Amino acid sequence: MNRILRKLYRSDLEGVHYAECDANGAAGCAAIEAKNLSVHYDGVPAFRDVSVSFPPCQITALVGPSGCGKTSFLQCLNRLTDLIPAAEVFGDLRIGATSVFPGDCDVSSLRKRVGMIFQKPTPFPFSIRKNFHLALKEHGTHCSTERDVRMEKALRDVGLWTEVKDRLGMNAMSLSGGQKQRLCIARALALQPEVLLMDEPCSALDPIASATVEELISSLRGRYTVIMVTHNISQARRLADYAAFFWVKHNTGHLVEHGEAKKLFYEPVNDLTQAYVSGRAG
Amino acid sequence: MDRYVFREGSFTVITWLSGIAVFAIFALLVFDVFYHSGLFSLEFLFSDVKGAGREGGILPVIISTSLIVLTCSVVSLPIALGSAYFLFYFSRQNTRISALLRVSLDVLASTPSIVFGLFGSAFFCLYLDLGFSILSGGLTLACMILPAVIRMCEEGLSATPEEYGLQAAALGMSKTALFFHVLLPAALPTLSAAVLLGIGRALSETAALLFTSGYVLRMPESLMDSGRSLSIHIYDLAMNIPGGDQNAYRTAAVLLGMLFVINSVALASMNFCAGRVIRK
Repeated sequence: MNRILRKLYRSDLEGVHYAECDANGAAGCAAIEAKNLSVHYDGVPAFRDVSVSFPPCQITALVGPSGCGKTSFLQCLNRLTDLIPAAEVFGDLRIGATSVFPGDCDVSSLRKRVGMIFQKPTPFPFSIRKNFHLALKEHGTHCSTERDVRMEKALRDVGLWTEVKDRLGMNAMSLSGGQKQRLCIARALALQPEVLLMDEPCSALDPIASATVEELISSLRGRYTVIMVTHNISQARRLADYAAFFWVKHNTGHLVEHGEAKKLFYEPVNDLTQAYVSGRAG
Repeated sequence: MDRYVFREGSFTVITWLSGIAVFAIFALLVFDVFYHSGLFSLEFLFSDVKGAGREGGILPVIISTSLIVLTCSVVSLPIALGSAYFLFYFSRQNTRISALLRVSLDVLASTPSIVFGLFGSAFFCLYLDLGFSILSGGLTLACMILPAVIRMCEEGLSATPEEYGLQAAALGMSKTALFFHVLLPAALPTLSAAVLLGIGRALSETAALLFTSGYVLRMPESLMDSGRSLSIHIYDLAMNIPGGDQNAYRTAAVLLGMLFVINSVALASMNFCAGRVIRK
């Protein structure tokens, strides 16, 4: 019985991403559009008046020096700014057709649609399986078989399945740094998000683990809208289809330039961007 | 002598001496109790009190003590966890309320138990009209152990990495789910240690129960009956009953045994819980 259920769910799930996300990325992964977006902490702006739109199903890199508001911008996209009591957000932000900041927005389902990966991989201190089950249960997947199938699919997606399939009951904390980060990505993927936000996902990893995670991020192209903050310009060059460059002016972050990654990194219009990507500033 | 050798040597001697001193006090106490109690059969545990405690066993006292401790645990556990989370949540935001609460808890934790006894007598026995009863005693003990247990539980919750909250929020998990499914299991070893230490303190409490659960030696029939706890029984036999010394020592031996069992169970369950958190 379990096997039949498992098969049913698997065939059901397999259709989901690939069918929904056509070449334009109209349904499966959402475009992001910000208009005059600003975030203030205790009345002091972290970044101001950012108007930008990111294409769906592509990898966008946010680059710029420390303190230019990249992470704050990222945290606006799934309303993690709500957790900071002194934070205020102004302006308009849309993910797909949904506006993010009206008072009645269901934050939990927004965060399911917009997953986030942090710099420091933090699995919960339970087994690998429980890490998935907790998140899935919270979003209404009450059938344990379905949760297992989704977990398997997500782990396969990040290339971790063969490494951990025989020890799903093992504490997730005992995985290596790179494996932990891939587990966190898989856990976010299991919720079938449309957008994945990544805040310097490789900066806490060694070069080999970092290369594996980069490869994984690259494989997500076309299936999810990925917005990635990185300090590593070469990484942004390797991975990004689209890029946005932030800079600090009068202690406040501003968006200086955005556009196709190739253009921004190789033929930037703005002098500051030119200086930053060539390593002369920042 | 070389200064370095002298410093390191004296440090080693002092730490060893402190360890030996603690063990010696414990050994002397246990020896004193068991030497005076003499050998006694298990019948002492399961038979009724006779001659005001000079003869017979201590069954009603054990039952009353268990009921008092049970009432105390059932009441204090949810309140302790709830308040600990409240403090933990607000302390991360550094509000004045949390600072004020913490100071009041620390003052309450160091308040003598006799003061709690007076409070319990005035509030539970008289004002709420619960009289001298096991319920009054249990509730008073709950008030007495709560401050320390809350502070220890809060420490346990604070020891969990801050990233869990952020990670759970990013996965769209509610605060309730974060508390019950992530923080609580992650902090379980510390939380159970805190709760069991509280229960241990409740089990050996005397002063707070003098004015609340009373002296009655009968077998309790409900929580509204008065009942005598083990520690009060020891006090009464030693102070007020001529010829009750040996049974006082025997009761003390039973109390020590119960504390030993509770602490061992606590340790074993903590290890078991820690293993379960990982495996499940």
